[in-house]
Amino acid sequence: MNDAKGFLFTIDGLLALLFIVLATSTILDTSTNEKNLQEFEISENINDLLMTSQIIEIDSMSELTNNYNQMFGNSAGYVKINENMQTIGNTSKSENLISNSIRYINKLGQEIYIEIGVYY
Amino acid sequence: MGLQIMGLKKGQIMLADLLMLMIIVLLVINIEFEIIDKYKRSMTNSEWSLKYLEQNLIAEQIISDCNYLSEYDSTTKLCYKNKISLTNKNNLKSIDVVCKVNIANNIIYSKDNTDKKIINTFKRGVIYNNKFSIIEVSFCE
Repeated sequence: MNDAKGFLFTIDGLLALLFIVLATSTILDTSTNEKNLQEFEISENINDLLMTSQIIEIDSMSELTNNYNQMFGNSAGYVKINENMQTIGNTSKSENLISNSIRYINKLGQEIYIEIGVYY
Repeated sequence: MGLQIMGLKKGQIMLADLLMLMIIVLLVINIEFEIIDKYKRSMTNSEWSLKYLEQNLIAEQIISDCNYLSEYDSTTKLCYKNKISLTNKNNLKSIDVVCKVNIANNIIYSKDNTDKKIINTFKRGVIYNNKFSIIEVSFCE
């Protein structure tokens, strides 16, 4: 009877300690935000490309692709001007996509739609 | 004889009980240390993230504030974000943490005291000389 009590105390102690461990880990756990910063940086760079495209009124696919390559290097993605779309790099392996678009009217009065997407 | 066997069995059980308790205590201490270590790393990560955001904001200010590299149009009295003019590039000296600025691989600003190590560089897309260029703002320790 007394032996069984000893084991019971051990199990009881074990449960109490496990509870402390779980409680501590829940309180102290903070999620990493490296991914958020990466997304933020990509989004910021896409906006740079869109804004600069509007300033110099880009309507040529090759020029926009060239700017994309300067900005993102080998990162896979796509650029779209009005109905024309061009993919850059190998997009099949990528899972996540960040994209943004802009619509502006150029000096000739034409409406230009530009969309840029980056896989990461 | 019967009592002796009983006493031996009880002793063995107590010993096993104690041993088990010791193993459990050691295991729990080990887990606690791992959690504290993880917490320390996450705190360092948070500090790094804050510093990253602060530097990012400075890089943003450099390309959008006419007191630094953003272009000012005296006719319209407007300041053009992401459009670069080097008129006020000497004002970059006032930002202590910025140690180098490149546009299209040309150094336009470099801090005199260059013995400090570059810890982070931000790439942004801008218009310079009416062409798309990459500006790189580097931060020192």
